[in-house]
Amino acid sequence: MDKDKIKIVVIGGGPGGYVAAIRASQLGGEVTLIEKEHIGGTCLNIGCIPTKALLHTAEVYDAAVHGSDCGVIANVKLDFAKAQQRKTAVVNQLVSGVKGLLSVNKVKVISGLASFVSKDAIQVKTASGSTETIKADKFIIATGSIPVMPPLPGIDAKQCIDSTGVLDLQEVPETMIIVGGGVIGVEIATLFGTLGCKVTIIEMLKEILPMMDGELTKIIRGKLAQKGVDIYTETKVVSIKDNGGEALVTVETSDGKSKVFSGEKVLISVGRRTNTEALALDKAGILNDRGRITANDKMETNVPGIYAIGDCNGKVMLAHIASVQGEIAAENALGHDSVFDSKTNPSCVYTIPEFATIGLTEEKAKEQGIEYIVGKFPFSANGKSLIMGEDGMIKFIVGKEYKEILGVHILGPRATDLIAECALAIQMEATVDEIIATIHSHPTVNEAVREAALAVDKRAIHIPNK
Amino acid sequence: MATEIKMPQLGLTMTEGLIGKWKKQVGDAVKKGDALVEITTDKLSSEVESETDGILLAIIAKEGDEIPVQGLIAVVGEPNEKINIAADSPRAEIKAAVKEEKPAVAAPKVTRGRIIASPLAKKTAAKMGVDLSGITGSGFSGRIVQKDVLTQQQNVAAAEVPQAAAEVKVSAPVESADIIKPLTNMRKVIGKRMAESKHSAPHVTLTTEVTVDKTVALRNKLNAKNSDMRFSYTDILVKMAATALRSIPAMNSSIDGDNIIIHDRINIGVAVALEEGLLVPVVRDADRKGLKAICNDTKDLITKARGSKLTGDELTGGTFTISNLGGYDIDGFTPIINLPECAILGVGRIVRKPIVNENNEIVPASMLTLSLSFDHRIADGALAAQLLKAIKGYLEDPDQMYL
Repeated sequence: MDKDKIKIVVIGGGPGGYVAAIRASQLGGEVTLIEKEHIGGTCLNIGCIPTKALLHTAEVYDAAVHGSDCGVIANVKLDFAKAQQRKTAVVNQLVSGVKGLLSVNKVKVISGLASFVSKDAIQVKTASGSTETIKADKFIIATGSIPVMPPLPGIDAKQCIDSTGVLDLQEVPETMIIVGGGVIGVEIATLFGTLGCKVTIIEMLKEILPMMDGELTKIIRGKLAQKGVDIYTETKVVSIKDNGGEALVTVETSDGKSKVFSGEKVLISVGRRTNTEALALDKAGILNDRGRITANDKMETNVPGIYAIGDCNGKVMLAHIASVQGEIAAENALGHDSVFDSKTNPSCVYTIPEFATIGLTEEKAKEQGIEYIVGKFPFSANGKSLIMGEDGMIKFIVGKEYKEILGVHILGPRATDLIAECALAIQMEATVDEIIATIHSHPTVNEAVREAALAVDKRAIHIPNK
Repeated sequence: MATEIKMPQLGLTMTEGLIGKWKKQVGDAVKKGDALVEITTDKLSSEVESETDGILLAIIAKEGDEIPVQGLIAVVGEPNEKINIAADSPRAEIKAAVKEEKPAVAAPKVTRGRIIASPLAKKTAAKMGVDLSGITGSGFSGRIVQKDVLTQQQNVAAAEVPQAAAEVKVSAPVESADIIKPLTNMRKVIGKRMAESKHSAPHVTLTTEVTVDKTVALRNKLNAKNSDMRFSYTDILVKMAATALRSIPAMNSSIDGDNIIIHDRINIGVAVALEEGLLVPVVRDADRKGLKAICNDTKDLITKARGSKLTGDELTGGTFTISNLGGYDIDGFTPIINLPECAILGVGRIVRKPIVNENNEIVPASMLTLSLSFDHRIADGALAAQLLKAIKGYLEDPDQMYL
């Protein structure tokens, strides 16, 4: 061991932890990563990646079913078990890729459950039952989050599953009740709705996907309805009852009426909570709010030398935020001065078509009393989208005086990729002029971004400007 | 063959000119020497003349455009001659050059290479008239973001609260009989330069009352003995100020970015009121000239100013300015510094007043109020007071000038 090197321990091997470990190693730290289960964490194993792998199956299935529109006629049959195998293969390849990266970067990986014994030491319990105490100069906590199971009567019915369970289903159920219309709920509804399952979403709030722009959310609700997904908003689940082959979910609708849905599976996707119980935070004196570790924008906790990144600090529970925070924590741990700026924080929902957002929604702009202008462009007026048989809408929210980009909301083909240009624009404090001055290649769905920017000035070319 | 008419350089410091009214229109026949268009620089108004006989084929620069020196403004050629403006001197390029110079309006003349600022920061700065070159960026890699511009603007505003309060936008009430006319180019230039001066130079104005009986007597004597000349108080003050500046050279100075220039030559600008505005022609080497020479110079300059005949060089190179409002029965006022000069002397009227003399008697005397505004970036109160005291000394006892 090199005595001069700063010893860094990263707790948790998800998209926050492994990135922090690699960055710390790049900067000359001697890095040990503790992971209790799977390298890659929730994201790679039971979250982002497997969901999108299965959603890809749904997309291919959807394309095959509608293939005759393009002159491809096939007798389409779904083999969901095969889809699951492919998902697993994708996950495994990515996980082994991350393991390879950690190894190349000389990060020592220990498999076990970590807990603090003091400000400068942790104890690791390995699967075999042995324990090891590890001292380090700096600690980066990246233990992530786990699904919340609300204390509903009957929540332990065998039909109730969380996001991990739903991704492990070996067959497409006939019916599914989804409790919670957030990103996970809506993506799973898209997945199984496309594959022929009768899905019902129960959402307590006024609207599904509350962080997204309302106008576009209405469009995606229409798309989901086309797949037979029923959505009940302002509706509360009262109880769940195991009725043998299916569960009976009793709800109270917005008008106070009681309604019962029966579902072969009930997905509970009401949110996630920090996964910090096993850490014994109090042994190190780390400040936290009901498990959410308090961290500043340099990712520092109240204890010098201990950082908290990603879901476990409860700021923004998204993989890409965890990764960025991981880099920042590693840099600060090794004497640099980095600060997390959440200004460019895109959110993506993998519906069909995709839904992506960055910055202020129209609702938020109104709420904050900001004077804004809207520029909209429908994908139906974009050539490439028409070729792809997709539609949707792109919407710019820009400041009234300088036309700086405050928010961009995209519902349409490849929205999750298109949002990157808009994120860069917001990071650079660009105005619509810079988007307009940038030539967008043809024919691409990307042209719609420029057209929507033009629409701000009422000079879009491919739609009448009202 | 078509002849390109370009923006002339009317003075050494001229970088661009503002296009005023076109006197000829496209298709008009023009003779060599005919005035084509009025132009205004930051110093003067003039006209651009045709360099050849022919037809005005094209007007490239519109009224209100700011065109850099040597930028194309018009083309004169033969009737029906085909011209290719794009190939000769692309208008787009001129336009681009003009556009790029826009931020420089707010920026000082000294720039430090490329300024890295976000598009939003640039637009905000342009709108607010904030100078980006003076801002330290807080964004990634020191990039200037909008927040930095707003902070800078607040700092500037806080530094001149009364100014800012006066600038609160009030929409002028307009009634049917009111006359609305657009600002002339000269008014725009004056407005820009005065605002720039007040904005960037911290002004301090010192005032003092001077007993000028001996100067009055001197002038009367000079005018009586030289019937062909008529010496004005301004002429005498030019000489006195120049002499005083020679003994306090630090006040004969200018600011240029991060440098103070202490001038070797003493060139006194004299503010001349015109119907349409104000010009400041310059009496060169006033310290080395006799009163007669100064008198001839000022007379000549004032005549030229009134006839719009001043050349660019007669309007540039000043190191100190005198503004005399005594003729308008003004007692005293606070003049605005004629940047980049360090100071300006405001002269009020001479009025007979009772004063208490050295024998404790109340006696009548001719009194004059002087006010000296100076740029506190260059000089401090004590130094400026020395200059004012020296001028005061000469006015009270002109014989002191021989020392």
